[in-house]
Amino acid sequence: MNDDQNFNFDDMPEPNFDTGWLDSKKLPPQDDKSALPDWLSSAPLLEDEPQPTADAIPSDAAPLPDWLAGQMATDDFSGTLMEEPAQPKPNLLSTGALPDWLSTVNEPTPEEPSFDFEEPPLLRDEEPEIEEKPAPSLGLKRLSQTAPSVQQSEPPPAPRPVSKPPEPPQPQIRKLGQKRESQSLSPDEMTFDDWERQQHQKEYEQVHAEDIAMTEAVPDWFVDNVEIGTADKDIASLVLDLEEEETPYLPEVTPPTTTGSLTNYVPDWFMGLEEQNLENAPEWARTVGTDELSFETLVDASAFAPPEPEPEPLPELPAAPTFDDDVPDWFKGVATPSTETGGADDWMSALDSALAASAEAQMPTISEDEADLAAGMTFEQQDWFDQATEETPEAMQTFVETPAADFEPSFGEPDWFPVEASSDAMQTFVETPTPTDQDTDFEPSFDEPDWLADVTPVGTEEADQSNLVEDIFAAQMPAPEEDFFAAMMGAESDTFASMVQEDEEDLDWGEAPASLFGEGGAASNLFTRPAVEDDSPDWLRAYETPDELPALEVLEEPMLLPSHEEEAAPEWLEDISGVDFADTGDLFADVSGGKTPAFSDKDLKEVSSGTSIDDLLGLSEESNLPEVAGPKALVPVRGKTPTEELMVSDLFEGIDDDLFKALDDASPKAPPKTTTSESEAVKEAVVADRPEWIADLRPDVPVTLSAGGISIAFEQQRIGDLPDALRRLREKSADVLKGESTTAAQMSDSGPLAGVTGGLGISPQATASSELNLVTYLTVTDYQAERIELLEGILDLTEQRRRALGLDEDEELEVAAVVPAKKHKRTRPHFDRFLITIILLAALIGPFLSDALHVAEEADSSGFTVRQYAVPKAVNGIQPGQYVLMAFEYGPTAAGELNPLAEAVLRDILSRRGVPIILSTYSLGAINARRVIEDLADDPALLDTVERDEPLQTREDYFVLRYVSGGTIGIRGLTRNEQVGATIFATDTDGEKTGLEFDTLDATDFAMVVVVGERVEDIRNWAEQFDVPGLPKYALMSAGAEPLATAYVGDAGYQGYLAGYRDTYRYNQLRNTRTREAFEAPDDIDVPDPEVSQWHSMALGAMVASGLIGLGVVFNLLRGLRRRRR
Amino acid sequence: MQADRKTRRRRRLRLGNAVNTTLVLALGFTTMVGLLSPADSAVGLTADIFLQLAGVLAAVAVLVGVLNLLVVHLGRLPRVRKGGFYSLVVILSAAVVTAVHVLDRTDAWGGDLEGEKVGPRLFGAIQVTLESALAGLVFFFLVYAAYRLMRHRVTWANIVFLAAVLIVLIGWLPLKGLDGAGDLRDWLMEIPVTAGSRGLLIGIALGTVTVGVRVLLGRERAYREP
Repeated sequence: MNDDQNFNFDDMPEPNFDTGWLDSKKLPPQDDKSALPDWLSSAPLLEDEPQPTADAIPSDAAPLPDWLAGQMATDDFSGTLMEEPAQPKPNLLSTGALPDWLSTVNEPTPEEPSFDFEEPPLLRDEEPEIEEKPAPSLGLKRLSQTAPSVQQSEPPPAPRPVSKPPEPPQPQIRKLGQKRESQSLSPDEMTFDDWERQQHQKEYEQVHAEDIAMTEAVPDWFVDNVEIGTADKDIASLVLDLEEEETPYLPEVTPPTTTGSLTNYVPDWFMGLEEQNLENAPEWARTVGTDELSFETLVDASAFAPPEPEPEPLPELPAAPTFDDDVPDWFKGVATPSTETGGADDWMSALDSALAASAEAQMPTISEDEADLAAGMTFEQQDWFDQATEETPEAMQTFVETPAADFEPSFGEPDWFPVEASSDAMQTFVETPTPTDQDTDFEPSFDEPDWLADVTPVGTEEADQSNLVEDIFAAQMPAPEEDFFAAMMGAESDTFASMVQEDEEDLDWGEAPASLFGEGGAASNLFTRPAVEDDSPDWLRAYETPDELPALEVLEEPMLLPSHEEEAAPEWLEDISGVDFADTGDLFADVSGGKTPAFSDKDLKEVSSGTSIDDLLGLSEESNLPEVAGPKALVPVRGKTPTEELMVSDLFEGIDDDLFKALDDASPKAPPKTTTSESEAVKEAVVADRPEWIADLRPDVPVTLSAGGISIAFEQQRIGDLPDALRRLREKSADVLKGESTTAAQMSDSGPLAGVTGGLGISPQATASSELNLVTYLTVTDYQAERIELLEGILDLTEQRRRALGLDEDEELEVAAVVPAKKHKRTRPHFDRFLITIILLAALIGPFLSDALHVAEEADSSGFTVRQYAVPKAVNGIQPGQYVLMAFEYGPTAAGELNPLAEAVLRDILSRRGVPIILSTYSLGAINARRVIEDLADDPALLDTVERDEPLQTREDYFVLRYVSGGTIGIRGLTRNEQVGATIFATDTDGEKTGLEFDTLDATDFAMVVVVGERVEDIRNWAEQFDVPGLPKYALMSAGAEPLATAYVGDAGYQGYLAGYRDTYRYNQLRNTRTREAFEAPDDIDVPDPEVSQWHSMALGAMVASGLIGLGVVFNLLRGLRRRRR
Repeated sequence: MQADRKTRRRRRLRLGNAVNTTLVLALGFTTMVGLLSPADSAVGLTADIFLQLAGVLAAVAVLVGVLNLLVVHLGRLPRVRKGGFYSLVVILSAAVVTAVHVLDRTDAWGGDLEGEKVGPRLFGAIQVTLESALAGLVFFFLVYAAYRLMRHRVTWANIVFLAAVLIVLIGWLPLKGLDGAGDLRDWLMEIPVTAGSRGLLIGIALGTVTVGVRVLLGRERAYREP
């Protein structure tokens, strides 16, 4: 039996945690929440990818915080996850080299391999690419460098023994500028990594002593008023009504990854968000979800106002309401507005916008679960905000009173703020101050990325815009190492400014977030997909080499956005940027009487577990949040549709006019205000109005090509992934297009296409429309030129010939077809042909020269067949004076063969005193017949036979009739029509009257009919058409026609036949020996009888021919066999 | 089908075609009926008239052909062209033959040729000799072709063909001791060859009937279109 077959799922220890709440709206298990931090317990991280167990985490990476590692070691589920029996190996635990806290962690599960395990191959392969260099960062943080490499810039956090019972939740509030309490470990408690980090830290402090000193120069007001803690987590905990967990302070998020992924850079604020504990939240945050939170607390922006600087005295300002107890202290200190800078609302607005832009750029899409988490926290703040608005309107006065002459933007913001700075959370702000120094107006510079321009208020000057950005970034300047911001945002050198400066051209609406967060752009990828993403943008790749990015320099030198790129900004963005969000006072116009939203636990749970952020914010039709009476002030302000306007108007219910007065007094020269909701509105408007090509530029979306009803999706490739050849081609094409676009732009300055860029260039009109456009020149190729010359030559030659022939132009000249010169092939002389010819000639001629070659037997009548013998028999039956009808149906070609035969038969007929009547349907047959019979007419032997002294006379002894026209018709007419017959027989070839009178031919008219034919057709015509009953027909034919003509030899056709010279010779030998003169050879020449020699010649020729043909057959057979063997 | 219909639609009934077809049908049926009828019947006599007319037309056609030949070659004489010499020869030959025939008819020959017919002599001396010699070359050609028949490929058809040739030749030879070959030749000539030839003749007869029917039905193109 196989072990797998014995496997029983029932025996499996069931995991202690339940991830089903991630899919449903159930709340996560309490024990999990207590065991895991918020960031780990909220998102579907455990569900999307199996979280690495303790044995799956590299020991050297130390990615998990100590509290988590300890919890995993002690909890049941961790034990169940690690089912594999622990392989005893000599690790640090066994050797006791590890600190005590780590040893205690593993004590409850001694069989586990603890963290000293072999790291996954994927992670192990990627790790060498990480460059371990300290680089303090303000904006982004690379998850992969949560390993010791990243922690070099900071002192290693003191791992806390997990076995230690959880302490009561206490807000871990830390102040900016205040160094973290030393959690140094004794050498005995430190691991090698800790020791190494400590060494690196020391080195770093020595190298960056100045920087550290500068970060320590944080104003005291900031230190005094800014409290740092885990308020966001606490808020979430309160909202979710969860058990407070022990959230250790995590200066750096340490997700379990060791890869050098470039896409694992995430904003520190985001990481810091996940780390904070609710206990660290201020008191007002704890009131979220209760009726104590009002709008007054919300609009109490003094918490965000910069504190009053110490060296400069406070300017005299109108009396402002003081903070009451409901407003947290840090809020009071920060929210002090500055009259010079236009008020706290200005810089807060700018800060809000900047943070929103940052969130938008870095985290455009948040997974649903993460959005739920953020939504839950958002509601907490909404409550707080509402409560603050209602109950503490005086806070706004203090907000106004706070001067901000030397506003230091590096303020401390509440812990929940980074959460709100996300794309969704930013909508919770109704109004945020703009941290400008002096000016109130500024315009968004298009030098900055689109996302930044989107959040930029309209109406400010360009320089102020630069200052604004500078201030914004200065607000995020790296604080000292113990700074809250630095701790939360990591120690990387990538800042907003650097990011904008380096990638201002590449960063796009959808590209940067997608590149940052990997495929899909979901924030969950931060935690669930630590693997290396090759499709990271270039600016993100740059962070792989922190040395190349002097983050501090970037921070020291505020980015000056080049103004020339303002023209390059798309027009649609300009139009959208012109949205009037300066008149923010309208937002508060309809506010009357705030209501304290009260959420039930059920609603909150539903919202936190499954409701999307859109549902939370009331953007979805299906959402029931309006019924839940959520704080309307947090509903995003779109301002476009009536529905949204109504939502905006409802935002500020409960806010009385005094509050606005106070706000107006506090910011008399307020620049155009940009609320967070307005910026979102602008942003969404931009998104809605942006061209499609921007959406198409999303690298994470496949490109679909459709043609002919077929759609094919192609995954986009990064430029860096392209082969060199394609990359060069792309660059070359881009240059060409750039040149064309430049030309087109020049061409489109005027005319109907004025102002239209990107079009084809307008070709100048060659001639005016009214002018006659004549082709003045032609451009021909060489080939065409050759053909033209050839045609001209032909025309010249034709003209010359025409002149030579004296022809006019209208006369046609028959051009003789150009007959190509015959190529006389020199055929190879065929020796065999020549030899065969010679042999045949010898065989044919030899019998005429010598009797020795007379090899054949003498022909006699014994050789006749019955059909052949019928001919002499019939001739022998001719009575004197009887007519014998003979048809000479052959021409001169067959004369050599058939004339002797016809002569032999005629001789016999004449010797029998028969009267041959010769006719022919062949024109030359009659002539030939005449010649033949004329030769016989004066033959002495024949005359002797017939006892005639004079030659035979035509029209008396024989008749040669004229040519019978019509072929078969004529033959048919002989027997059918008396008139026809009478006509034919009436005239001979000389045109003389024959005196023959035949009405209708019958058997008595002729003794016999002899047809001499060369072809089968001749024989057939007479056999078929001439049908006189009782009149026998005999055929004299050539040897070639014999095989076929014999078919007509029979009772219905010919009674007999003779064929060729063979039968002629036999016939003569049988019947004409007495009627023919014997051959007398000349005296001086001894030659055989030609007639006999002809017979032997034929026989010898036939014999030789047979031999040659047989020889050829044998030879070629052998040749073919030999060839086949090959 | 559609193309045929279109073609039919496009065809226009021409008067000449209609007349020709009508004449052909009428004369053809009349002749056929006349040939099947007694010769002394009206239809038979009519058919005989038609047959005489056909014979006359054939004779006239020969005359027209001779005249056309002379005209064509006479037309080629004024211009020097390739082959013009042969045209001249043709014309001269025609003229000479005509003259000789006329002289023969008028007994204009004197001397040794007095009372002779020069025309037939010329015919026998030139025409018959040349054509006989030309036909004699066929013998050499056929022998050499048979000799090389299997040079390029040895097939059963070639073998059978050459075997038949050899059997017929050898069986024809008047040599002693080849009686068996002679008998085999006679058997071949009487049975297989006769059967094959009759099959060919039957096919020819069927083809002739088919053509006749088509002519009678007016579907022969030669009579349907001018």
